Amino acid sequence: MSSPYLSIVVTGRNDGYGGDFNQRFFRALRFNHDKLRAAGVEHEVVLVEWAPPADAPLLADLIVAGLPDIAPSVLTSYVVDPRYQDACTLNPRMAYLEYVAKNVGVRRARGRFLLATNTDIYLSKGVVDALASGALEPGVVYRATRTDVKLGADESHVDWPLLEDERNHATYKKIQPPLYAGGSGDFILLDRDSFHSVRGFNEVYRLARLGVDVNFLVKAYASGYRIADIGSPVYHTNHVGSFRISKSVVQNDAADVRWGRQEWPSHDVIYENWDGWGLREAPETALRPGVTRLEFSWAAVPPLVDLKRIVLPAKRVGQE
Amino acid sequence: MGVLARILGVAGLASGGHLDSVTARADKAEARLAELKTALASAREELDRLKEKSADQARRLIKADAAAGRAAKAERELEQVRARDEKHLAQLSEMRERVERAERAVALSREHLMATETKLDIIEGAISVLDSRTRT
Repeated sequence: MSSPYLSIVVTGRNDGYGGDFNQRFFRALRFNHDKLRAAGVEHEVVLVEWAPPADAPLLADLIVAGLPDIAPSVLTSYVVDPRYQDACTLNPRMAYLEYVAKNVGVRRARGRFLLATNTDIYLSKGVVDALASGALEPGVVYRATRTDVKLGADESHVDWPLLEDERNHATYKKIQPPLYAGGSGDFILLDRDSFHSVRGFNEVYRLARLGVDVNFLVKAYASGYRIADIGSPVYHTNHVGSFRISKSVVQNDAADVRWGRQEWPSHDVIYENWDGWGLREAPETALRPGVTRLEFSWAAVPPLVDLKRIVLPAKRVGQE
Repeated sequence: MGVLARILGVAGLASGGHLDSVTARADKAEARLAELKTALASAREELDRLKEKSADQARRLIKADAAAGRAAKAERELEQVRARDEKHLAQLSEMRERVERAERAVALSREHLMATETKLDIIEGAISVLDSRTRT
């Protein structure tokens, strides 16, 4: 099987996160797939269905039913045994190890370039054009400004004019060098070899969701990778439960459940994941074409404590 | 001189021509005397002016001497200030280096502290996880 130019790595599960999770995911998936296909960008979507609830249908199955033309030709799903959440976590109150899940996809994606993003992110025309141009450079971490589209904007017929219309924009924070941080989890694009060389997202400090994305940028920067703005935004439709909307109202235990520890030195301390990052050793069972289940094995679980893998960056921001 | 003149001379008298001649010489001498008096007065005035000028220059010389003395003193003081200044600059430079070294040490300590805190977070998390596993 030939490798596509682009792998889009996302994670999610059928748990109604943020209200109507599935519909938001399907709309964005349909949109991005259609735009990339129209632009001639060979791509795959890697969905990591992390610890799915036992009492609900698999998201992978719902996609087959809802978007039959996308699955299984474009979509590859990895259904991760729920025991990995409990075995991997260092924060029992945090319900979702988002970046260990993304590492599962990063480790297995086949594309020449990997885009780690979220399920409700719409690519802009500029981003699709940049991907179609074939001008992306290996060894460069590409970032995009995230623009939030207001709740209530008509999402049934999402298209670029709607997304680009500034009247629909809720928040907008231009990313700045050198890290181009800010909404980083929504768009980190890097060639596969470099992504693997950095060893994916931090899975030594498994207590937080917030800050793990920027921590990746700090590590990439410290490792000598250039970080650049791809020059066009991505769009995110605001929803109940998103961090930007909810951070001021959700506090303490509830915040810990959603986002884990919020105060940790993600800009200052980096990591060196173990060789088995991304659940490399997890036994795989093919459920059907395009859907693989990662069976539980302690051999795939990173050490509970591996302190030597917490390190200080050799090259820091502000020290050129 | 004729016989008449000698006779008049014996009698203590002079001829009119001789008298005129003598009178003329006396007048001339008187005029010359007046001229000399005027010149003398002028010379005196000039002397007074020169004396005044000389005194003025003497005063200026005294002032200049005093100024030169003050300048030399000021120069010595300036040298002292310069020397002190250089010493202070050297001290400042050394102080700056020490502050920079201290700042680097603080930054490094801060980073190590953050790394340590991060590791403590992990240990705390692991203990929490092991605790909950033990209880279930």
